[in-house]
Amino acid sequence: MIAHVAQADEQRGRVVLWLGAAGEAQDTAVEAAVRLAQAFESEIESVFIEDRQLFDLAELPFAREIPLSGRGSRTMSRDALARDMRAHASALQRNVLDRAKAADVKAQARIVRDEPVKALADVCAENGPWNVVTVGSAVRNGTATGHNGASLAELFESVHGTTGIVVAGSRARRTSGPVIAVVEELDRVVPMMRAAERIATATGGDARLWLLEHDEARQDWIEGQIRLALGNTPGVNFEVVDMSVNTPRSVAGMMRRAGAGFVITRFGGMLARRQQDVAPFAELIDGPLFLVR
Amino acid sequence: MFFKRLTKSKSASAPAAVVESEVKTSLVKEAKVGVQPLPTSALRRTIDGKDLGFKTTADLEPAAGLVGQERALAAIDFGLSMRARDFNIYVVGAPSSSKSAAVRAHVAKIAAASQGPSDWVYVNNFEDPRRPRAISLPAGRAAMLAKGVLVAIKELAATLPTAFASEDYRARRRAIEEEFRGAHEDAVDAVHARAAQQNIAVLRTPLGFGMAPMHDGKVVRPDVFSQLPEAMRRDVEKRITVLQGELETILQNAPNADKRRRRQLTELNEEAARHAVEEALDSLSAAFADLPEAASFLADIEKDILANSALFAVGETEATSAAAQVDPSQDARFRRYLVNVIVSHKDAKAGAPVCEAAHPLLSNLVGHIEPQPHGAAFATDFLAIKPGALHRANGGALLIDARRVMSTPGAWDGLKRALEAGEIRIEAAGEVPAQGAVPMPALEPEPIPLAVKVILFFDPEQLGAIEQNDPEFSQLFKVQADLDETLARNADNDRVFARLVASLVDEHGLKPIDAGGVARLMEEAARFAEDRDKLFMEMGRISDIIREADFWADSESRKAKVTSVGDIERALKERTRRNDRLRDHVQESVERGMLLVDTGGVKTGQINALSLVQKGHFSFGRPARITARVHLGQGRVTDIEREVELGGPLHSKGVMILWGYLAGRFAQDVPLALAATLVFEQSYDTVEGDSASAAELLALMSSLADTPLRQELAITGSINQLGEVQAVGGVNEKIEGFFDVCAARGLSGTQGVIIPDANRQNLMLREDIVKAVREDRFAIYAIKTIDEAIPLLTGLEAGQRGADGRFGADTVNGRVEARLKAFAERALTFSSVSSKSGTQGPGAASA
Repeated sequence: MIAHVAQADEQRGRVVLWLGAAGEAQDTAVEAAVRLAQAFESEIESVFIEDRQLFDLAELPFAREIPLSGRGSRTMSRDALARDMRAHASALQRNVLDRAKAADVKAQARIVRDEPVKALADVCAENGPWNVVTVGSAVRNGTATGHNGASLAELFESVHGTTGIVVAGSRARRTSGPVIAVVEELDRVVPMMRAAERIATATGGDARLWLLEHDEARQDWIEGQIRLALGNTPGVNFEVVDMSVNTPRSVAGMMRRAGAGFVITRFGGMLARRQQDVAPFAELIDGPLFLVR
Repeated sequence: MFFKRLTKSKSASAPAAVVESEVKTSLVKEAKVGVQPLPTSALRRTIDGKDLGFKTTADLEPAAGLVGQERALAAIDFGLSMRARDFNIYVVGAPSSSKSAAVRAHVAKIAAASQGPSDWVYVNNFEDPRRPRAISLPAGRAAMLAKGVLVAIKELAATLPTAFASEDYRARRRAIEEEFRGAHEDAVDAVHARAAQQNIAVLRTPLGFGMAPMHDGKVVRPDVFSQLPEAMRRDVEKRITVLQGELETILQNAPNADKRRRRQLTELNEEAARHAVEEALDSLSAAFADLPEAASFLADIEKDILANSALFAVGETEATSAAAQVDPSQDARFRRYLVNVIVSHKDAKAGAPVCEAAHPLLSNLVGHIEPQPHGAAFATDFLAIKPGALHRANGGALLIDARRVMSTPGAWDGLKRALEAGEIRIEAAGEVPAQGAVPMPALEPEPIPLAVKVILFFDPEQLGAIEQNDPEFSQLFKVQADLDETLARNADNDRVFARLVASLVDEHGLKPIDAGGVARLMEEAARFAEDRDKLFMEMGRISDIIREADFWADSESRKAKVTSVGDIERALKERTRRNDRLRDHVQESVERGMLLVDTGGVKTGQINALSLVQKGHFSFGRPARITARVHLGQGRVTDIEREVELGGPLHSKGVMILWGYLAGRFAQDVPLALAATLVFEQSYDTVEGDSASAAELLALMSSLADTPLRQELAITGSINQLGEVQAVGGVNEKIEGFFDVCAARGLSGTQGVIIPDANRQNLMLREDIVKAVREDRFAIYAIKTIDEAIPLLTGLEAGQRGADGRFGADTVNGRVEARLKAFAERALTFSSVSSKSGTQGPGAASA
């Protein structure tokens, strides 16, 4: 659950920003990490993971690197790869640290050479259990984590010390705007709403609750239950989305029209049932997508 | 026509070698024949306020403009009417702000009735921003165009982001992005998938992609791979090579796809923006459809905005607030569309402009380009173009003080270039950038056609210099307007003068001046004019006196409501007193005997001349002793001032003329076998002018005739070779200078000044001198020839040639002739003795 991200002095979790070799960092993803850290008064652990498999590849006799332009491929070597990695890491980390400093957020950076999932699991275990992993590159089809060498499903499965994973589509461009918490079960209403409210303090928007429900007949009853659950929370902005007539794509359109910033939803829920569903949905919204277990 | 001295003076001992005679002179007024003293009526033309026909200036209608300058006005009118651009006008006259103001008022009157010129603007040249376009518009429409464009751009800054934020636009954009990115990514993913099927991993590196054999989802370690059979390794390698080729092809095609994507996005942007752009610009384009250049500019704007509409697309959440706050002139995205109004007129009926270039720097004349701070550096564009006086005066007239424009580096040449070319071309200053700085690309604005009449104000001295040194001047300035400094006195002009005084009173908000005060001002104007029958029309000096008089009328003791003659007198007196230190010093030097001037007795070879000292507008006369000595020689006069380079050319000319007179009159039968020396005693500064030539001649004749001259008289006047005495300048001050010395020592009744008869019209002497003359304590004599001065100074007749061709022996001329003859004979004797003894000179003796 995401009700809690550790505060800076708790030593029980951080916002872990995962950076890797896959090109530029996604700007909104980095911004999301900073806002989360602000919201939960936490700190950022910026981890650049040098995928060990790349170094194994570089040792193969026929290993070649194909540049992004597709022209002028070259033979790979461990040394050249290490040099490129360091330079890339240095540029990314500097950007992250500068932005964290500007936002008055504590941040530290490190470089780890390992398999990505293992590296993240280790980092989160050091400070667990209240970590949030932010994927620093734009999500892509398939793995939903870009070409960083690990899939989203693997992360949820293997990185135990995390309450959720934040991803951003390639066109995500803001964290400001309403924070929409998407729930499908009544028992998640309160913690999701609290998390949304907390994030909203850092992004400047308001917190909204969207309940996804297939059964039109249950919608009024559910709304009543939710209002009961939220008790005297003032001014709750609450909507029931009829999923019998909507799809994840249309819901994403509604969110965009609502000017949504952060969207919080459950990995495995109606909007992100499988890791293959995550990237198409994230591509359609303008803010980061916070996936919780 | 008079000689001047610089203000420095020194005391020194008197020359020792002047021959003094004990001969007693008889009083001139006792000589009943010859030149008589001038009557008091000739010494000053007084004006009675009662004759002027008004009580105070409040009764008069103020006069303005160029009074009594019909010739100059006709010239100005002609110059303004001539369309040719080389018929510019130059006004010649003493420097005066009131004069240029009067010319300006006259020109403005003509200009007001003329057709107003066009407005001019500079706009961006969308094809070549380094060369901004100049566009001419009918009067009054430049501001409309500028405002219209500004409003349109502000409107677009608000509406375009909204258009780009619309769901429709974003959906279509997303579709394009999706289409291209999807196609590209799908292709990459397809390679991934095919690779995965063949147990090949595609891994991302910082600079690209790498491919490696995979087992159970992990890259096969190198040591494991090397254990595989060679055939298998070759197979893996072969498959990887194929997949790499596929990936390379996909990546290489990405730029083409991106190009297509960008083109589609541009088309989408244009489509999204078109409606808003047309909405914003259509009414403006319709309003300027009658002006092809303006219409073409608006069409350029429309085209450029459509091509760059993304410039307007800020984040839609910011759009509303940004639109409200946008200042296009400060926003680099929008500056290019704005209009820089260089010249704007209210409308064509407002008449032609008349401007004055008060500070005629080159940049103030032809305009300049003012770089704008842009971060840490400076940038420049068409909005940085600033107009000059020529732009503002284009189609009308520009008034410039010649001295200022010619003394400002580059300004005169720049003005001539513009007039010659008939266009105003603004050139970048050509500054050299600081070391390491990137030079700014120079802006070359399109020149603006120039049709202006330039009116230059010269003082006469300057005009001579420019005509001599600058041949282009006369090619560009062909109309001379010569301003008279004086106005002939008659009842009408006296009235005009009084009305000008009234206008000065109005202009400065002073108390009215009574008729007596105006009369006194007219007397002073006649004195300034150095002509009893004229009035000086440089009203600046009159204005100064009036304002000072007003001050004194307002003083504690007066508190008067009207400025009277007494206040005018006091103002004049106070002015004199403020400037009088030097004159007092000279007077004191004379009185204490440091400056040797005799005002009584007689002396041979010595005479009182009169010099004029000038200090700004203030001038005064002072006596100067001239001595002459003669001796046997070969016909040469030594002008000591010239020898020591203290004598100016005009003074030397005077000395040569007097020598010509002597030779012509006395050396027809005998050679001039004399040598003479002439000197201004106790003169240590430059002497210029020939007004002392009469005095020098008389001193020389006194020495030759061995006849003493009366020291109680002083003389001023220049002579010609015929012995006629010619007018000089500053005659009033010169007389006053000698009078003051005599008065300080006590007027004897025999003292006086001899002046050229031609100077009688210049006499406007002080009242105290007129009074002294009236009381027979001082006298002024006017002479026409040098012979008329001789009896006055010597008591002897000058002498005329008799039937025998000789002067009478007891006349001064006779004595001179006799002395010259004696010199000639002695020279002859000396010459024959020398030739007999074989000595012809110092050189022959040694030979």
